[in-house]
Amino acid sequence: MSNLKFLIVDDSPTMRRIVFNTLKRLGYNEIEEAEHGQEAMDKLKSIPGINFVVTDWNMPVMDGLQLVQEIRSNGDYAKIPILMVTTRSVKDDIIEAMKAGVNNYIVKPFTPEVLKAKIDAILSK
Amino acid sequence: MSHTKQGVITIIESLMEDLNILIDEIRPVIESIEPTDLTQVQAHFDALVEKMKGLTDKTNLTYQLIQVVINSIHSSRSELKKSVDGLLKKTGVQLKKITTTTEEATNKILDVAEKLDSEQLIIIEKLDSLKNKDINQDEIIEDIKSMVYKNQDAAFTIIDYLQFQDITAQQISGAYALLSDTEKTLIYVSNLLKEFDMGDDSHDFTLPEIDPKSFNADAMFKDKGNIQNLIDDLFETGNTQIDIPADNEDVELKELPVASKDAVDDDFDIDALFKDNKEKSKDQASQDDIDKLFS
Repeated sequence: MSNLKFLIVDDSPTMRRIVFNTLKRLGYNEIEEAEHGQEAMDKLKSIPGINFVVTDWNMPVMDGLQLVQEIRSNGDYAKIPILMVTTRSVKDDIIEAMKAGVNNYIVKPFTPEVLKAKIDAILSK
Repeated sequence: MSHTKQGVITIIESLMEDLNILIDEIRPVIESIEPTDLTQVQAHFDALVEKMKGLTDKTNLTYQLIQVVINSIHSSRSELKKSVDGLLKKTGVQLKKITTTTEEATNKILDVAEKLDSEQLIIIEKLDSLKNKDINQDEIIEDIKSMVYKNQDAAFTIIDYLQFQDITAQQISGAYALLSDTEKTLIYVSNLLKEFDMGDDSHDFTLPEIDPKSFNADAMFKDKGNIQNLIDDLFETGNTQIDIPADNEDVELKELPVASKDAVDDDFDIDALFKDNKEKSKDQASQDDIDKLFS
C-alpha cells in the first residue's frame, strides 16, 4: 500500500478533491493530479514513481479513453494499472474501455468502499 | 441572383409601373380605333404584344423569386419546428434533470448534517458526565470515541455526496450544447432570409464552443450499486454478453398551456431577470433594514 503513487486525472477540481480525500482516507498519501489526458501524460513522463492511474473519461484536450490508449501504446507505461472512474454507464462504452486496456471501471457516484475494492482487485492480479 | 438584393418588392413595383404604362398606351389606341383603320390597329397591337412579352418575362422572374422566398420560408419553418419540438424540449428536460439532481444530493447532505448536529449534543452530554467521578470513565470515553468515528464517517459521506457537482456540471454542459445547436438553427434561418432583406445589417450570433469530449449529458446522480455489480462481473469474467441496462431516468416536463397572442405580456421585461446582481442589490433591503421594520 505504502509504495503506491497515484495520478488522479479529472477536469473537475471538485472530483479530484473527492478522489484525493478518499484515497487519503484509504491510507494512500502519494497522490498527483492532472486536469486532462495530455497533462497526465506530461506528468507520467516528468514525475518519477507514478504507478497507478485513476482517470475520468469525459475531459477536454485528451479524454480518458484516449489517455488509456496512449498509455497502453507507450512502452514505458504500458503496464501501469488504470482505473476508470466515470459517469458513463452504457455497456458499449464499458466494453470500449475494457478493450482499450482499463483494468477496472467505476461509475460515479461511487463510495470509498467501491474504490478500495477496485484498487485491491487490480493489485491482486 | 443579384435581383434578390433589390428585393422582390422592387420588381413588383416595376411590374405595376409597366402595367400602368401599358394601360395608358392602350387607352388612346382603343379610343382612336376607326373600323377601317386596320393596318394601324395591327401595328399598335404588334407593339403591344412586344411590350406584353417583356411583362411576361418580368412576371416569370417574379414568380421564380417568389418561389425562392417560399422555399426559404418553408426551410426556415422546418428548422424552427425542429428546434421547438426537439432541441428546446430536450433542453427543458436536461434542465429539469439538473434540478432533480441538486435536490436529491442536497437532501442527502442535509440528512447527514442534521444527524451530525444532534450527535454533537450527545457527545457534549457524555463529556459533561465525565465530571462525575463515580461513573465508569473508560466506558464513556470509548463511547465518545465510537461516536466521533461514526461522525467522521458521516462527514465523509457528505464528501461522497458532493460528487453531484461533477454530475450537474456535465448535465449543464449538455443543456448548453443543446442551446448552442438551437442558436445555430436560428443563425441558419436568419441567413436564409437575409438575402431578401432590404437593409445591409447582418446578425451574427456566437456562443463560445464547448468541447463535446468534456461532458456526458446523460450523467445521473443515483445509486449505481446494481450497475456496478454488473460491470464487476463483466471485468471479472470478460463476458461481453452480460446485459447492462441503460441508466436512464424518465423526466417529464409539466404540460404548459398552448401559447396564444394574448399570452404575451408586453410589460414583461425578461432582461430585468438577468440584471447584474450588483445593480439589483442597490435596491434590495439589507437584513438590518428588514429587522428594523419588525422591531
